Amino acid sequence: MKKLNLTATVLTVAAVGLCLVLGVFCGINTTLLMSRIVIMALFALSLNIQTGYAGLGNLGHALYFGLGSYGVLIFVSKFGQPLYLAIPATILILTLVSAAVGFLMLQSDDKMSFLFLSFGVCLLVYTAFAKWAWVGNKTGLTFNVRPQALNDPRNCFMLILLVTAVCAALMYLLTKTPFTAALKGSRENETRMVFLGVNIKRLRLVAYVISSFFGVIAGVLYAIMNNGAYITSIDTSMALEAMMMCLIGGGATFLGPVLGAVIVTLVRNFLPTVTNLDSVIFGVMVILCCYFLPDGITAPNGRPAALVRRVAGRLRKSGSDSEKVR
Amino acid sequence: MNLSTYVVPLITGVASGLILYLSAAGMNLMISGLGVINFGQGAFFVLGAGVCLIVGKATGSLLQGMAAGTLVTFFLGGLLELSLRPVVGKKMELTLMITMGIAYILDDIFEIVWGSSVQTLAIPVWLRGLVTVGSFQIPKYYLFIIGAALLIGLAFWIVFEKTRLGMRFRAIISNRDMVEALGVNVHLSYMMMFMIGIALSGFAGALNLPISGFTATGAMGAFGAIVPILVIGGLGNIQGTLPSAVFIGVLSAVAALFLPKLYNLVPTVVMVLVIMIKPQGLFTRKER
Amino acid sequence: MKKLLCLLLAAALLTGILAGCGNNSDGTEPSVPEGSSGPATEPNDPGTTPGGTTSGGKIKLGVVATLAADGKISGYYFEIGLRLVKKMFADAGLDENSVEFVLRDQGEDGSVLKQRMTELKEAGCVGIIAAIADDFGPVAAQWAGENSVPVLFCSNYSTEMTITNYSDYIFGTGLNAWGFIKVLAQEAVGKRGIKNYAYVGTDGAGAADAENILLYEGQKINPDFHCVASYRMSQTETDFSTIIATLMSQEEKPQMTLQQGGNAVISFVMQAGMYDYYSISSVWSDVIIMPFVVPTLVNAGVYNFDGSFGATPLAWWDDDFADYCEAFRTVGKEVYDTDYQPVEYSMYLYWAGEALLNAIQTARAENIDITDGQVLKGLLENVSFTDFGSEHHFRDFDHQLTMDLFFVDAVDSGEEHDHLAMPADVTAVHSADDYLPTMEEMKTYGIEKLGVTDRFD
Repeated sequence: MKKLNLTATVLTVAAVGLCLVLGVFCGINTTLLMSRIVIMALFALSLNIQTGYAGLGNLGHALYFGLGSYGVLIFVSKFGQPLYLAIPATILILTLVSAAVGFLMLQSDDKMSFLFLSFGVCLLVYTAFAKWAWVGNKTGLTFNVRPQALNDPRNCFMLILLVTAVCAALMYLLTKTPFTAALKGSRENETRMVFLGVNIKRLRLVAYVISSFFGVIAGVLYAIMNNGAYITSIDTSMALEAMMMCLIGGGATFLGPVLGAVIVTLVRNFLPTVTNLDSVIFGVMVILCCYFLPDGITAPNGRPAALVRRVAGRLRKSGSDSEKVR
Repeated sequence: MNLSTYVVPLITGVASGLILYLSAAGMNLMISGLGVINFGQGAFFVLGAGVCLIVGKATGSLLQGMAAGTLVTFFLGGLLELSLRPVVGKKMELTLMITMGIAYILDDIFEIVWGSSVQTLAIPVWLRGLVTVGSFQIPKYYLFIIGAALLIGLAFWIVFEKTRLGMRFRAIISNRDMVEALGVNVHLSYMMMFMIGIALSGFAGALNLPISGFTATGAMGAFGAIVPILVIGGLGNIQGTLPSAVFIGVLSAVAALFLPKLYNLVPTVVMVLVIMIKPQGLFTRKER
Repeated sequence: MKKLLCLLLAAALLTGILAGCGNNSDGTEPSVPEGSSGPATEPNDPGTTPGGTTSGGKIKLGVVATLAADGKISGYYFEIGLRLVKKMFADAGLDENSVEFVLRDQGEDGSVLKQRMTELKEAGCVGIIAAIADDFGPVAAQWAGENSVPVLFCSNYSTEMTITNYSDYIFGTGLNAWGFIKVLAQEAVGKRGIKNYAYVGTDGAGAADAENILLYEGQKINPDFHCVASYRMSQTETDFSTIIATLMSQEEKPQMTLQQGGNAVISFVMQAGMYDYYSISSVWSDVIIMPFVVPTLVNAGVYNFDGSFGATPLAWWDDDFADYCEAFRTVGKEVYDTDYQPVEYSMYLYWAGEALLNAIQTARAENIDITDGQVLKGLLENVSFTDFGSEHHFRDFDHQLTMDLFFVDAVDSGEEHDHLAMPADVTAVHSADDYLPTMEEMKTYGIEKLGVTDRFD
């Protein structure tokens, strides 16, 4: 067990503290925005387990996000169950569903067919829900699912931050296990892993289920935040946005997707208020990112990281210089 | 239940499928040749229709408009290939994201240049009206579509199988590295593949203009319509595109006849079933 | 790892700065879209304190609309419509210093919509005009109830909003979905003796409403009225040819086709023309008689005058309305350098503005402070005004704005069709009392068809 890196821990705690301050003390607008950013960060982190670590591009992860929201709403509004029963029921059922779906989708070892299949299943469920009056067609379900205490957006935000932090910690611990090492291996050199006796299918299936599990949790939080489930949460464009978050932020590092989520959500939030050309600007941003930062902003071999290294080195050097003078 | 209930819907479904066939074939060419999934194929479909609209209104001739639409997208295909060159071969998601970014940008441009209301062009007089075949009546324009699509398909097949250019295409598709090692200028061939692939989509869009009109926001819809064809025919499988498109056309007729409330669900369900049961696609020939 | 966290910290700080900026300003209006030669809309004055204002002081009204997202049918009608509303206020003596409109984009989903509306409330708005897609209606109603801020909904007012998801704080200034279909049913089944129908529409609650109510109202007149086929397509679908071919080949052919699909109706008509569909069925829709649809289709040679019917709340032949159209065109030329004719949605926006103006003027006359949403709600419930010959007020049990509805029959005037003339004969005028569903009817429908039992108690 490696010694806990003191600087890293302090910085992480500081970052979380900053989030807390921003979310609770800076006005309701900021609270709502921060709630959204934190949920998207959890969503992107969950996707990264498949995309970044397992190398499986997935264009339909919004499926579990959306179904997580719908699950909570259905249990509470249609079946009259209390929230504390609805949440575990939703998570349990959808995780089992993801195991079945993942099993079927991973039958072929081809990554491209997995990509299209994930897109197809997401589109299928979206279209089916749009036609289904019981789940509200295109409008979705609106119902008061929150307990009284969570009606204050700040309390709601604190819950969201707590749950996300716990999930992120769990996912981080996961990256330290040999499971993730094997997953990365299967991404880099499949043949070799097979020769080593690793069952790639099972590996990927476990990654898929874990990824979906956290995706469902993000969806549950979204339902609590909104008192509703909307069909746009299952839309393939939401899945594409999640992919973009992982790509822009960088799939190779743990916190890359978080950075991507922050950037994409902020851009989507503020850009339409400034210009009517927000689609164009967003498209240009994505394209520039693909050309100049193909591995994301936080890629260890990329330009931003090199820049930070240079700056840090210079700071260190000036520090040691001043020591020499003394 | 007499047969005539089924014949005209089937023919219509096949005609609609054939328009999509052109766009899908172009996409398969780019996938098999360069491994590029062009998310912007729908945007070029709309662009072809848009250029056809402008030129058609100016010259008063639909056919001239179609030619213009095809040419413009042809040259833009070359530009697209050039811009994608730095990222081809790297992560698959990159070309996906870039082409998607292009689709986003074109979406806004269509809105700004053409406006958000639906516009259309009149069909030339000689293509109007119905053709009576026995007890069935089919619009002349739909027969024109079937004819045009099959003609282009035939031309494509001839080029692909019988010419030197086509031979180079086939070589690149089966073994890219070898072709490069043999000293052939692959970049020119890549560019040709792209230009043809995009031009096919532009032509399909122009062909579709008198039927559906021009909608500035139709790019994603146009892309979504060809995904089932690609998947069922086998991604990158050029020979499978035509049977797959006809199959989808027949499927939409079946949906219209028997499952009206689930009309747009049917192709998606079939697509998902196909990927699960036979991921290579229904119409792939076994490798020799 | 360290460097990454530095980056993350920097990003979080950036978030804070940007969020702080977003918190202070009351909102910026988007720049006028390209191609315009008009002046940019004025930015709002930042830093004003939240909370209500006293009479004689500034009143803030929020406006949430689809500005930059995908649902761009709003585009020009909204920009021009809002300017006309502001002008209406200015002409009544309430300029920017007395009444301020704060603008927000609606966003892609219900969650973002709620966030925006909360931002407007935080910025001190006592009422909100929601010129949003009707899919978002129930979310707006939920928010209005939760936050006690009246929301004027400027889109089709469906039973999903008047019965299932009703809130006391929602006010509908758009067409009543039930009433509209009732008028069509009475004309089709009652006057023209039509015995069956086909329905072609998109997925969604609006579609379900339209078909269910058509059948319900049709069967009240003729119990044998029935459905031949009912199609649901995706919103982006423009290819109806297979459906048309199927309907034409069936044993029992529909006599009327109710088409609901927004702009897609143009594609439908084009394809219907090719198949000579009108020989078996007429086509009914709200859009098919509109000036922005007809000339396109006439010039392409596919518009069928004899077989196209619809209903509209716009009084095209009224002189005052002609003045309104003139004003609309003038502003359109200023901003977009194009001749634009108003559509229904611009009227809903206009009526919302009129209702609010009425409420504010009453408050001033009676020395009432509009301190918060609750006060404004009370005022709105009592507004009453007349324009273009039609009387308007909000009904007390569903907050539907009353308006006359005109059943129109497209006519070929023989002249060249430009988009500024309405090619129609008004064959019937239905006043609000005639066609809007009564509370009893709504109660029965709610219990029988929607499973909602406690709505009207």
